[in-house]
Amino acid sequence: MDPAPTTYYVALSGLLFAIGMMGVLTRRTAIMMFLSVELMLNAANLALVAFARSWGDLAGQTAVFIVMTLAAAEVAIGLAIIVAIFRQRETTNVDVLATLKG
Amino acid sequence: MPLFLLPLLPLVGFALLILFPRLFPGKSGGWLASGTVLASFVIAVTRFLGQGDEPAREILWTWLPGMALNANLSVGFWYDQLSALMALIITGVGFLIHLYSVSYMGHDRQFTRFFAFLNFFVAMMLVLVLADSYPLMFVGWEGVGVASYLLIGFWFSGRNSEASDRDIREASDREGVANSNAARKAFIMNRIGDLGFMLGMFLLYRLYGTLVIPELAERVDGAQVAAAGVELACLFLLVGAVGKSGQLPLTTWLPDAMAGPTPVSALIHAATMVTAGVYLIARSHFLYDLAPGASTWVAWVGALTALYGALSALNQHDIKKILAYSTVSQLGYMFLAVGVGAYSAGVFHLLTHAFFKALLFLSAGAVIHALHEEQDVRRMGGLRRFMPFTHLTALMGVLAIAGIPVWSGFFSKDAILAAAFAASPLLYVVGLGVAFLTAYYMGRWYFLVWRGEYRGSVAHPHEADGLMKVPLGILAALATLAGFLNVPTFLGGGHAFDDYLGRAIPVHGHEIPISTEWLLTLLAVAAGVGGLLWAAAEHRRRALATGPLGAASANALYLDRVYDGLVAAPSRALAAGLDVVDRGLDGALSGVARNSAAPGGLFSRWQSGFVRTYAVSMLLGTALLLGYWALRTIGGGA
Amino acid sequence: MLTPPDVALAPLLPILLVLAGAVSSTVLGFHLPRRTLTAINLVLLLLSAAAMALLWSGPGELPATAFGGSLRADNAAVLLGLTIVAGSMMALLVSLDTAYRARLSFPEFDAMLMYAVTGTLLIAFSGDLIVMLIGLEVMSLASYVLATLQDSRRAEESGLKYFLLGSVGSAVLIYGLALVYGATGSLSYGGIAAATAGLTPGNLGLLVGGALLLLAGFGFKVALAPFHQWTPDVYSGAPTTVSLFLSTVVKVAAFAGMLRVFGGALQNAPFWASALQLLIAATLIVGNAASLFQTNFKRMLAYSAVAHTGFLAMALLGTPGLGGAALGYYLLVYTLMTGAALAIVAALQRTEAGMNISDLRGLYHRHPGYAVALAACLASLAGLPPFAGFFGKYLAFQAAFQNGYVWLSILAVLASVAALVYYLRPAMLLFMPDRTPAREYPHGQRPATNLTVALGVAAITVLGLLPNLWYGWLADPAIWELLAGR
Repeated sequence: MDPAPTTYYVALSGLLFAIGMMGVLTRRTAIMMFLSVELMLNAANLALVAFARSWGDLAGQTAVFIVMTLAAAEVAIGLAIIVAIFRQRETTNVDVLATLKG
Repeated sequence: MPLFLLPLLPLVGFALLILFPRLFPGKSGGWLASGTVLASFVIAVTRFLGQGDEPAREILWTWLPGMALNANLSVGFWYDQLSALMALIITGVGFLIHLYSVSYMGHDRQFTRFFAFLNFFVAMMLVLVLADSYPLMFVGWEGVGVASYLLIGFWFSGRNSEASDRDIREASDREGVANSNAARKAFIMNRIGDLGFMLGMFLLYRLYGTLVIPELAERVDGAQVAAAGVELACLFLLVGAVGKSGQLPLTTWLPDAMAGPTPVSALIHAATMVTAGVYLIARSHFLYDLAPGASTWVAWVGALTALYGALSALNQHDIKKILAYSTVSQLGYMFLAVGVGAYSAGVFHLLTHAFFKALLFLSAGAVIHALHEEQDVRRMGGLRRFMPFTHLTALMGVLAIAGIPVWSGFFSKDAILAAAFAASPLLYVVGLGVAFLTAYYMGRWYFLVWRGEYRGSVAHPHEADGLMKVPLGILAALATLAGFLNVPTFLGGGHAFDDYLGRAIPVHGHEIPISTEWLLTLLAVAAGVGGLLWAAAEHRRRALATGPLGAASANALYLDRVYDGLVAAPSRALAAGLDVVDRGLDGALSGVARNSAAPGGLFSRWQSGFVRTYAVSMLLGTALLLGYWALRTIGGGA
Repeated sequence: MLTPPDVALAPLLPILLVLAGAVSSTVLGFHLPRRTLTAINLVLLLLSAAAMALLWSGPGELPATAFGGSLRADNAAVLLGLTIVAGSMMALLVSLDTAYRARLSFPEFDAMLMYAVTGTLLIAFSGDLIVMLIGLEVMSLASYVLATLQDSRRAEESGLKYFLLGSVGSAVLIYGLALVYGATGSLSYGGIAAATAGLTPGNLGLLVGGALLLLAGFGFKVALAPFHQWTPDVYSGAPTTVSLFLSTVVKVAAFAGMLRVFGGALQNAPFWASALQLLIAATLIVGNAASLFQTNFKRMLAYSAVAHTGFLAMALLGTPGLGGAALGYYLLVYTLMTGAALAIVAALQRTEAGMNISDLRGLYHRHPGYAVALAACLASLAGLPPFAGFFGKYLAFQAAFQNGYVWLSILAVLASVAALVYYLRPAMLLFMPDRTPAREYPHGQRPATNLTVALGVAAITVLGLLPNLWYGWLADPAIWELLAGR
């Protein structure tokens, strides 16, 4: 079975990244925005793995684990902040947070 | 004595006065400040007396990395004939004006702070003229700019901000806003000049690899550098000089700068700081000698500014504004001189101008004091009877600036006109015309203030007190006699000044037959006498109050309005922004709310507070970066 | 064929010392009083600085490395690390006086700050993209918490904004990292620099795309327009001590990362410089124009931080030898003057929203020391000689000018002229006669703040008169030409 060429993987990861970007732009709740960011991170992971395979290099594969760890840490911090906000305002709609401006 | 003491002493005075104002009750702060400048003057004199033919260079410490030739640039002072002369002028005239200010500013609440600023100015000006490298000169250059800003805006809250009467206080607030705006205008116009100075420095470093002045002077001969590069560097430096010296087109700040106290006008905006541009060009003479194009620019900028200043002075009514435009005009003369290569004549005029213009300003200050802050010449007149001593000194100043023989202005102006004649007849004609106009408007100033009947409201104007008389007397003597330092050959003189300065700056002798020189001199005298006689005739007809050219002159040929228009027409938004900035401190703050359409307001609206719009700009920015690259790649060159 | 891992303690020591501070704050925080804990952290920071100084490699010596070059304690790392420690110590000292008033939770504040410093040092010492990424994320995550830590609506809003936008920025940056890896097959700076020399056109596309995404990601961290919009909101919404930390240390670290990545790894890669040039131009215009219109002093300083990003980033456009040295000098000066100015705000403000510019009127008559110090900081920020800010700007402009960015230099000089207006306005108000009742926080002894401010102002004055005290260490171009290693 022929392995699919690297280009396919990169194209898929680009698509995922774009979907993530659109999600950040269109979603109103902090949680959904944040999930879209996770999608962007996973797009990067996919690209890293694909490139690592095509170069035959393990460094890229290990990098993926580190990115996944960072993403997990980000979730921990992010959810904590979102929960703190929710407790005060009973909403996670980011559009209500606009007192600092100008 | 080491050179660094010269700027250090006033700097110590500044530090003491600004940090511990409470230690100096009453007028002691003024005396301390005067004392430090006097001590500097004494050092300048001893150094002058002990000066050899070889310039001295005293290096203090390593400063900027790698800006000198294969070495680090150090902070060092350079003492040749030119800097010796400038140091003498700055400390000498500076001391006299300090002395005068002790009396003049005696009733001001901010007396001590005023002297702190004055001392700071003197220190920075000395750094400027003694610097051995362009970056150090730039430090002094910025320093005097700051001092000038602080002193123009010295009455930034008006002179009566603490008055109990509400109307007086409001008038004082308005005055304060005007003063602050004048200060800011001066500073910002100066910064445009500084931009030129900085670019000139960058370019010189690129061309020659060093910014140390003596090293540059040696290198310019041998180095293979494109002529266009030198020309451009000289033009950049010219922009710097134009900004600092109030030449066209950056001239409008200088008349506005008269918002400062009168001693400041005398010291900074007549005698010393504004001549820094002339000094810069004379100091860089080795570059300008290689750049004939830039030199021609200098000469024409000077000639046109001289004409502009003279025309604007014709119909002014403020006793200080007349002198201010006259300063603009006389600075134009100096630029004209250094532009045609007559560096010695230019610096000589700088010297005599320092004497007679300081004298005129200080006399004007005495008048303003006597008339309780009245500045309109139409409400003066006949003051000769009340203030005989000041009248006499002012008369000396008028005769000197008008170029009447034996007074100092005659010799210096004559040298410039002769040099201009040798360079280009057109420049000469402009110069001669300006000499005629100068004599007229100074005659007008003299007759309106001192002759005729008294038209003022103060019952008994009082003569200046003793402390003010001393500087007036000394300056009057100097303004009268300084010309004999440089009597030209054809008048049987020894031109001692040219010889002295010639050891530092080459004097290009111009070849004019003696008969022509006589003719030129006679024409110049005729212009001076003619101008004064014209003023006298008008005085007899009592038609002096309105000078020629009417509103055009009174509005300084509408240059300010032209700038307003130029800025406003292409971009209303920008003008609105500048206007808000310019409307004074509190005005600017409250103006923000009203001006949400201005560019800054635009950014405020962009900064909407919504996190999602921020994300849009971020991702859009990323996309634009990639798109820009794609376009460039498709366009053929990545 | 197993090789033992290349672990060396010496180059790790400065980072481990700071990490020890973070861990001890976490563990001991509930048993020790706040002052003791902060004192321990200060001592550990000093020790870390000493450890860095010992890592200084003289001419001819090879810098210490660990993990096969993934961690590089070269001279650039030492110099940037010392700047970071200086900024962190300022923040800690100021927090001694203000943390209680700002209701910053204890001991989380100290712990998070030390974790963030650990991350920043990792960036400065990084030898490949992964270590840099770890450092960047540790720093960012800790700073998100710092920005939110105060229990107030403003702080929460600023924290959430910072977090959401920051994670988007990180995602963009990581994707760029993946593309660069795809183009070069290497994650270490040296490998990337070696591989960028001869690339096939297909890989060149990946490389430039990756470089631009990295630029966008870093642009967010240092606040280059149009990625700057979080800056004013976060800096003005967060407690002032945190703003001090974010606008100095975090920015220095982000610039250290940019220096490593763009000045080292990608120095041969095309195109990013001309894109950076556009971003800088936009930053200069936006930062300076918006500063003109601020009424709140703290927010004005936030915008001025954006404007300074533009000035600082100009140094990246110079040749590595000249630009790196200019950036190193300017970063320290920027840290000192911004830190001192914000320390004064922290000491005098009544609420964490900072004070209005008009509240500064007549400060000289109430707090002469603070007023003179603030005026000196503002003059230095405006770039007036003889303060060190002047040379920072001068060196940065010159670096860009010498490398051919003439128009950008002219724009920058013009922008610095405009900057004078908004810096001099408060400076002038300070000395105006005093007609209003005081609007500062009236109570309190502030010995630590006073010390910070005095040291900062003294340093910017001395460094302005004798720049070589610091620049002399930086001036060797070899330091900055080997950012990626051999």
